[in-house]
Amino acid sequence: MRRPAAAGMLLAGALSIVPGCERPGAAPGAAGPAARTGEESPQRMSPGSGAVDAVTEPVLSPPGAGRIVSNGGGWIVVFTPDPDPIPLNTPFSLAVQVSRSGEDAGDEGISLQVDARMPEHRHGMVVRPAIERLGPGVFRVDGMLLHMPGYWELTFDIASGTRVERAQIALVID
Amino acid sequence: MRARPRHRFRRLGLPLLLVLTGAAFVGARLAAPPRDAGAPPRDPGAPPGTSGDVRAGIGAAALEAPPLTGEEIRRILSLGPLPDVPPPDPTNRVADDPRAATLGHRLFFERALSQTGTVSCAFCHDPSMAFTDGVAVAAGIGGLDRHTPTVQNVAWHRWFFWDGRADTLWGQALDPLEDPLEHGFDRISVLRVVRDDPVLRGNYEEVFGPLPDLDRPGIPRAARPKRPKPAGDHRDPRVIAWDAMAADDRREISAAYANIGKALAAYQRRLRSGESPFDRFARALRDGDAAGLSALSPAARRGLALFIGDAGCRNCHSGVLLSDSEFHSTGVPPLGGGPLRDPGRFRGVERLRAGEFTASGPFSDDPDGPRAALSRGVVHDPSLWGAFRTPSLRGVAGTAPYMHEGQFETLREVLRHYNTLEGAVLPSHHQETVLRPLHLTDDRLEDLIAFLESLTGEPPPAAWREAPDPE
Repeated sequence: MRRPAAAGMLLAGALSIVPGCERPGAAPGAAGPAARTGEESPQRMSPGSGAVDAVTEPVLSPPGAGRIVSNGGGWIVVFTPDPDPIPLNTPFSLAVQVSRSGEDAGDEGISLQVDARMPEHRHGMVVRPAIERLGPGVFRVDGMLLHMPGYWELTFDIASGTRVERAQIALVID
Repeated sequence: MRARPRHRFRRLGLPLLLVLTGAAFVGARLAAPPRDAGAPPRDPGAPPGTSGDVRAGIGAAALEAPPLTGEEIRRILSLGPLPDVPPPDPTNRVADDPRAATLGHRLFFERALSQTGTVSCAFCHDPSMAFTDGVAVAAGIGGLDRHTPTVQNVAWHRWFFWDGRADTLWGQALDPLEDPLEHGFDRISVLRVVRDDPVLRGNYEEVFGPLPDLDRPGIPRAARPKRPKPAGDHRDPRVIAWDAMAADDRREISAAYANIGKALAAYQRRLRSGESPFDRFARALRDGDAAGLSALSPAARRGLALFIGDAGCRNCHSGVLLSDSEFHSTGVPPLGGGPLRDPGRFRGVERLRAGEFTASGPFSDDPDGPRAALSRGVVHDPSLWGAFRTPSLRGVAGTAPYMHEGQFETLREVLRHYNTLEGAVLPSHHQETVLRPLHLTDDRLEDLIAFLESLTGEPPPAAWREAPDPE
């Protein structure tokens, strides 16, 4: 069973982020006062392996920005929301930089798709974002809208030739 | 069709409800011992501007309601108080022009703007009934199949109509005028009424300049474009006349007709409800006024905690309108029983995309702005079938009956539906799965009722509720 990673996140303000799409714990008993103190750590995917490791330090700073590794380990995605933190039911944009894992430079030949879903509700966003490529590996994503509070999964699909890798991150919007 | 979702609810209902409403918060609440009046708040966190004294005062002021956590305070302040003015609407250049509001006020009450001469906007949006009509489905001139929503605070909405087929308030205002079942009128006839009434004409020309010359060759006495319903609308003489007009003439007429909508919108933007007990409570919470927290009774306080917590109401009823202005399948059985028949938002998106008076359309004053961009990106998929816009809960105690067909006569019936989901009719497996039976006790349901009743404040200013002077 998944760990109750979301318990600590719920206290963190309008937006909390857990890399690796770890869902909120379903067992209410695991989400008591102890979890609220932050003793439960968020989790993240290990680059390249897909395995889950616990981390003890805050992962992201500022809280709205994120740096995640694609599931196949080939890409690093850094994104910054605007406004930050992501507001509930208000359109926002993302500045996204995609680079090859281990290299600073972006990549010329990639394309990006961005989406968000609420798996517990079985629905996605009510709008499709507009994605503009600003340069090698640099994108601006407009028209994002997370219309309901709760657990969301934000996905970045990076296509290079015929190969597509997904990087994803879990968000709790409140 | 009904058995499957109910089975799923029984099996997964409580755990998933807890996830939806914040497992950590629920766990803490269930574990908390009974508190006395002077108990400190559980959570030391509080949003900026909220003093510790106030949070302590909350406990002292409400013996029968638990103190608030910092998270609860933040959620409450996201619901109110209602700002003094609605968000700007750059798609309507006269949205905040008082002269346009004056014209819109007259137009709103003008019965001549209908085929029968009997139906004004105020006919269904009756100011004496919180701008609704008190019946399940609207009358119009031909009988409609949906309930009349209030237009109080309407300017805070993102989408308009139950199916969101309009993305601007001014575009919304134009649709009923030409709907064969509502006003049954047409745009050229609307402009003739304005032209032939000296007061209306004067108001119009003061704001928008001269009306088109309606007597010149090529302009029929009555004409409008074909509408999606009824099926034989293309044979309506007014549609035939419209199709025979030159493109430039059609555009000039439609631009003047769009102005009528913009004036009606300017008026409706002023229909802001007065401060409710909940607004006073939220204002006191925001401003650190411990005494003002008594604006809510202990029962309403407990109902508020449920609303933003365990009951999950805020999943859809969020923001200062207590509506996300988006679309959801509520499982409410159709009036008269049987399967769902109204496609709701699914058809609404199709009509939005085909719409003439939209944020991105030729008559918008900001066709490339953010509002237009949002509409261009709107998703159309099967999950929208049978979904309807979340109604605002502001003033809800005065706007019975409820739901898109007025299926429920009282708030208790509404809450009974969400509490049990018995008899719920959901469209298919494609839909979102937000709803879970709440299984709240009667006492807790009464607390929720008390909170919902606290959302009704003073009506909009009398000057805007009363019919305008003829002069």
